Formats: sequence, structure tokens, C-alpha cells
Amino acid sequence: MQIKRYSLAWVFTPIALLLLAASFTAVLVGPMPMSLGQALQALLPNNDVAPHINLIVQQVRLPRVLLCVAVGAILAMSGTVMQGLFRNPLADPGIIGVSGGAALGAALAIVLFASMAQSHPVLLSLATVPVFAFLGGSITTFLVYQLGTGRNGTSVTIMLLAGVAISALAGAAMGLLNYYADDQALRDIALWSMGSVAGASWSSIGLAWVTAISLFVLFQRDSRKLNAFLLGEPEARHMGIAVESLKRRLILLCAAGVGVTVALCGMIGFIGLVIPHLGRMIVGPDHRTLLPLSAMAGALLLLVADTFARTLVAPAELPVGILTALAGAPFFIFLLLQQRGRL
Amino acid sequence: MLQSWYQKWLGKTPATHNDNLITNINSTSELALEVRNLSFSIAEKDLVQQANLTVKQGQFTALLGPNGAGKSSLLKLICGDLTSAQSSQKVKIFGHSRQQWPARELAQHLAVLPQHSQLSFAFSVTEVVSLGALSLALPQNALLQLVHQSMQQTGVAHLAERAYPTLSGGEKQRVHLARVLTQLAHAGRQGLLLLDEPTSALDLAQQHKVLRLCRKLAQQGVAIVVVLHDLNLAAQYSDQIVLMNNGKIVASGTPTEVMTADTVSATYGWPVKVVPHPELSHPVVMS
Repeated sequence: MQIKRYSLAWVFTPIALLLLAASFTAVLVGPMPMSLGQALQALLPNNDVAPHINLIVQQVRLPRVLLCVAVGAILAMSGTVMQGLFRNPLADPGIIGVSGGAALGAALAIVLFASMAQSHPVLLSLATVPVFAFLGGSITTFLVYQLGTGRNGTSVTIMLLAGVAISALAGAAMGLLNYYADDQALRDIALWSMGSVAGASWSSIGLAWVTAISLFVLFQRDSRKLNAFLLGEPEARHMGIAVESLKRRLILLCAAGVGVTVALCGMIGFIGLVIPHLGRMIVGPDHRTLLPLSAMAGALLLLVADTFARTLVAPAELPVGILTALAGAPFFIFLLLQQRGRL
Repeated sequence: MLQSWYQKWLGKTPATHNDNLITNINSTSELALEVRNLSFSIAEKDLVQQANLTVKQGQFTALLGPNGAGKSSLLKLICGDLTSAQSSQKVKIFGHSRQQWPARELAQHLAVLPQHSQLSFAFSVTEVVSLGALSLALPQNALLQLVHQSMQQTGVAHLAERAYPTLSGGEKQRVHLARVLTQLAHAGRQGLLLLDEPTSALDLAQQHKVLRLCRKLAQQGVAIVVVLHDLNLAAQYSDQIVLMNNGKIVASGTPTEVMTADTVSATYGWPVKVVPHPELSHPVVMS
């Protein structure tokens, strides 16, 4: 089998154009119709567009587009790095327990504080759910990492199994919380676990973009080492790579990245699992090109999914996690069928 | 405490032994490898006992012995897959202990060819070979040239664009040989290549192809240490044979010195006859 690699310009130009087109479409479509001219003008300060259009573009749709792009990119990059680190194309960012822990943290915050929030609104303003979700994700990742680390360094196989076990434990704790939760809290938990980018504010956008850009720069610096890591850990060490610190650094970064997205938007599945596969089919497993491509493709997928999520049943909207799973799961099954002979 | 925790997570472990890092890599040591009195045990089982071993520049050394004799453990202690406080002191590579070598510089002088690599991602052969240049910091042009050269040397240039997972066992081994050749490209006579049973999954012709390549490398000055099972292959290609049993080195020297009927029979616990090869000079073991 000869390997055919497309030239980078042929890969990146179309996907950049697609991303741009999807962004404009996302600003234009919705319950309140507007023209491209109006939307573009609304982006400028001191324009003469109707105030309600200004409001919708500046406060609702544009923030949402920007949040989608950053969150999609973070999820796809983390997935790429996790699959490289575990040398397993079926790994996803949740494998280190970060999603399970974050879900538990969020559920805890919802059940414990939601009922108190009406009497003590200060709890809501402290954004307890995102903070608890981030803490939950960090704690479980730390646990999984510690379980996998022995005298002879970190074993990714044991981490993988520990991730499964800790996630199951978190799932059991969530079941207990669900049992005690009242109807409102139950619904909140369910909605949160399906993910949504509806809560886009300029501060959350700032956080997401800073995270996305930092992750991209830091991952890109380790991309060649990650390539060598695919050969195996001892092989990477023999090539002069400090594998222990590389593993630690990448796990920490992935956990932080996924933790931020979970805190901001809840659980959005399948992007971190499917996008790296798609990227590898197009540019191959070299992380130097795979990472930027995954980031852009992840951004595109989440943006398109969110546009559908808020237009399909307008003026209500679907949780975006349902749509990414709806698009992602069949594609993943298709990949499995293709690889069935080889795995 | 907080600082050390932070450093641990970021992988910036405070340097404890960096004071005596070597500054002049071009040491003049004639010895590629020197192992002095090295012992290693796991769970009170002695894997290696008081091993002494020297390998000169350009010398081809084969490690032989029955299963469980400690050959692979010794090789792993040398390349750092197994470590103990002792091993980092008592293994010297070009005159310096492992901990004196900065990891990246060591990689330019010491390369390891694994028994087999599972790589489930579809890298092309060229991409796998270029991974060897990771520690070299070469501009793109020079890198491609070097990679092409290495692939020609091991006879895989015609496979350049093939997907690695679709290659046969022998082809994969030669691709990895090209990779370690790339890694040692700047080593000159200061190169040491370790191979752990590189021929175990290969047919007769492929075994000879791989070992002949190693022989050629040795002639260029690279020191070779290879774990082998086949006594006759070892006798045909090695300058030095090191025979191990129960964790101890029981004999070492030229093939003719080590491969006597008595020594081999005693080590393997199986009667053998040794006769000279009809055309080449090395001994042949018949069992």
C-alpha cells in the first residue's frame, strides 16, 4: 500500500475557507433573519444598524461562534494528543477520567447548591457549577495519574484501566446524586451532561481562546516527540526524549484543556474521538500537521453542530452534545468496520 | 513543597546530578562500552551477577546464552530500560557513565534496535526513518538527504512511500535499522548500536542481510552489541562472543576461543560437536 499525502496547501486552504463560511452562516441564520451586510456592519462599532440586530450579533451569535471554535479546537487537539500518548487510536480525552470527574463535580454543585441558589443568589454568581466541574476533572485525573505511576514511571496501560475504574466510580456517585436530586436538579444534570455552548459570555470566550492558543503552542512544541512516542516508550527514550516528563506534561495539559471546556459547556462527546481519525486519514499520523488540522476540523464540526442545534427546533434548541454524537457515532462505526480486519 | 510538586508535574525535576555533566563530548575513549562488576536483581532474583564487559570502537560483540541467562537484562541495563543506582555508575559509554550524558547527546551516540516495534499508525517508511533524526537538529534538506542515504544503505529506499504497517517482518527490521543509522549519523567512530534479538522473526536470508549490515557498520567504526540465539550466526559475524549462563558471564573472547564443544555443552546442558566451517574460518556448532 503506497501512502499518498496531499500537499498541505490543498488540505488547509479548503478547511480554513469552510470554517470561515460556517462562521458567517452561523451569524446569519437563526430565528431573527438578517442580511450579510447588516451582520458585517453590526460587527463594527458606531454603526447604523437597528439596535436589536446589533444586540443579537454582538451579544448572542458572535460570542457563540467564537466559543464554538475555541472549544471544538481544544477537544480535538486533546483527543489527538491522548490517542498519540496512549498509542491507541480509540482513546479519547475522557479516558484519563477527566469527563467522569467533571460530570460528578457539576452534579454535586447542581444538587447541593441549586436549591439554595434561590435564597442565596451569590452562589450562582460564583459560577459554582463550572468551578466544581473543573475541580472534579482535575482531581480524577490526578488520581488516575497517581494510580498509573509506580517506581518505574507511569504505565499508560494501568492509567487506561484506572481511568475506566475511576470513571465507573464517578458514575456510581452520580447515580447516588441522581437518586437524591429533585426534579429540577435532575433535569439540570441531564441537560448539562449533554453539553451546550449557549452560555457564551465574553469572559468565557476569553478563557476558551487563551486555553486553545496556549494548548496549540505547547502541543506543537512537543509534536515531534509525540511522533517518536508512537513507536513505543522505550524507543522514544532511546531517541533522547525525556518520556516521563513528556507524559506528565501532556496529561496535565489535556486535563486542563478538557476541564476548561467541560466547565464552560458541559460534556460534548465524540469530537475528541472522531476528529483525530479523520485528520489521520487526510494528512497521516505526523503530529506537526495533524494537530493544526484537528484543531480546525474540531472547530468546524462543533460550529456546524451548534448551528443545527439552535435552528432545527427554533426558537428552542437541542443540546449540542446530542448532535455531535448523532454525527460522530455512525462515522465511528464506519471507521471500526473499515479497520475490523486490522485491529 | 509546593514548588517541588509543581516542578514534578511540569517535568522540570530539579537537576541533582547536572553538575558533572560532560562538556566535551568528543572524548578520546577507545572503549565504546565498559561494564565493570555490574549486578542487578529483581525480587531477590539475580538477573545479572558481577558482569564485566568491554567493547571497543568498531567491534562486533554477540551476547549468547540459554533462555533466561540474563542477556536481555544486561542489554537493558546498558541502554537504560532497566536502571538501578548501581547501573548508572557502572555502565560507561565512551568513557562516561549514563548519568553524565545529557539524554539528547547520548541518543546521538547510542542507538537501540528493538526486537520488534508495534506501530499501529500508518506512517510512511520515510517518516519512520526521519524519526531517527529527532536528536540531530538538521535543516529539512539535509535531513531528507540523510534519510535517503540511510534507506539506501539498508536497502529499503524502494519502499520509501509504503505504509509501515503493511511491510513484512524483515522489511520492518531494515526500516528500523535505517532509523538507527540516521540517529547515529553524526557519531562517526563514537557510535554504539545495541540490538536485542534482531533476527528472531526473520527467515534465513533476512537474518544474514540484517547481520551483514551490522558487520558493515562495525567496519565503519560503530561498535555493535547484539543478543543472538543462533550460535552459528554469532560465530560467523562476531569479533567477540560473550557467553552467559544464570546471570553470569561464563566465557568471552573470539568465536574460536569461546565456541568449544566443552564450553557450549556445559552452558546449554546439551551435548554438541564443534567443527570448523568448510570455507570460512569460524567454528560451527552441531547439535
